[in-house]
Amino acid sequence: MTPAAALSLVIAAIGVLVVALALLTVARRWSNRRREARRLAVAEPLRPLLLTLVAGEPDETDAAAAALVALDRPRWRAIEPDLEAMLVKVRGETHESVVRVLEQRGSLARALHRLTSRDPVQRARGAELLGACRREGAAEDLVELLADPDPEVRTVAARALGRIGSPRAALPLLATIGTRTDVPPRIVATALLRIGVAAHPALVTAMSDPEALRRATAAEIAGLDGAVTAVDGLLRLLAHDEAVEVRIRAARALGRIGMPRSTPALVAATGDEQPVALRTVAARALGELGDPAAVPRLAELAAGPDHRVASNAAGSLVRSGGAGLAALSALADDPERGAHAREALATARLRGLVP
Amino acid sequence: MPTTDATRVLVVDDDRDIRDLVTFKLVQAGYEVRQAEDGLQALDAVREWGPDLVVLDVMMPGLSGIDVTRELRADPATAATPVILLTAKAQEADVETGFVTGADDYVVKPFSPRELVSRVQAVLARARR
Repeated sequence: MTPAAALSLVIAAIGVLVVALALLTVARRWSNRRREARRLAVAEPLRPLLLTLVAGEPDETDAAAAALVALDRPRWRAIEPDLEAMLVKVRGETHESVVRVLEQRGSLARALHRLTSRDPVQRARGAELLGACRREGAAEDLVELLADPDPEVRTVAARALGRIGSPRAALPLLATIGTRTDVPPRIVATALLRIGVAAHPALVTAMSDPEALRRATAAEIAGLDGAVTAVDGLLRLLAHDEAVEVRIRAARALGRIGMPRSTPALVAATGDEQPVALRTVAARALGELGDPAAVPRLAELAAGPDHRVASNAAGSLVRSGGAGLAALSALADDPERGAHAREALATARLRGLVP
Repeated sequence: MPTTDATRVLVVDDDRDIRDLVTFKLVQAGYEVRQAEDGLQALDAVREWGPDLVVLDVMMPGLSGIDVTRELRADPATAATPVILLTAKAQEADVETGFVTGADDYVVKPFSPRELVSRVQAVLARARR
């Protein structure tokens, strides 16, 4: 066979393969659509039962639950996905009534069993359902799934733990950051914010972690969640942490939490010898505190040479009450150093913050 | 034009489960309810049917709930129609915008159907005062 003929054969084979794959995809989609249409056809007459369960009066709800529990297997399998979908749309007693039906039909036991499946899709589906049901008893199994080899499964497990709101999941969630089998910090943050106050002790613990990314994430979440009990830890990070990124997150968090006792540390973080990125964030954080004690330093910064620091400092003076506005007005009269003050005052006037 | 004396509520959400759930609960509470799947349908329904209140999802494809509220408030014929926004917790920042554009109340998803009916009753009572 000549090289040209061999090449033609290879191209033809690739063409056949592409067409076959395309046909297979179309056939699969068609088959899935048909299966879903068949499911919907069976589920549709059961929909009033589902709506009565989630929105009926208590006696109607009980009757609907009993009817759903008594459904034969084909009809149950048709309505089960709709019931599961309701879990994330309702809360309170309504949510509980859906969970009880799923529990009685064995869906939760099956979901727990799925967590050990060899198929990652099954593991993720199991985790998703357990999270949506918010069953504290499933937290331990889901924590184990945080080390799953599949990144999607780890992400679903982290979200599920957040939904459940289990405090014992907080440290394991933080511990995933920066590891070989990590979970994106954004997902961890959302989960921890859902856990809320119960996660604050874990945040404080993580602020002493050897991994900088974990300390930074803990600081960020503490600020977002207004963790007053984390202020001491944040002050320590701001003053002494070896990683600038961690200090920046600590400064931002202290601003968000808004405790006036953070003022001296934030003022120190605006020192001329500090990294510009930290000074910029600290200058803004001082504005969130609105503490008049920071006004002299903010006025110095607003007249300073670095425009990012100066701009944030001028904005913070607007938020520092009468003393801040007086300092800003005085600075605005300075033709050489008052540009940021004039800009901040003009912006504040446009926003109606000052007359 | 209205065909009955019942208080009319328009439920707007791109999620069928939410529409059906809210409709079920409101019908049970004695309201006459119609549904719309998106913002454009909602505007048409408000102008044609004249509901006494609109329950409006914030996050919809095309016109968002905020856009619809703005449109309703800009039209003198619908400016006084009370609006309750349905919003996911993550979109709570939108609530502020919603109030600025004239929404009367908001309910965070996931929600309790019973609580939603209470909110509807409260907003309607306020609007009638």
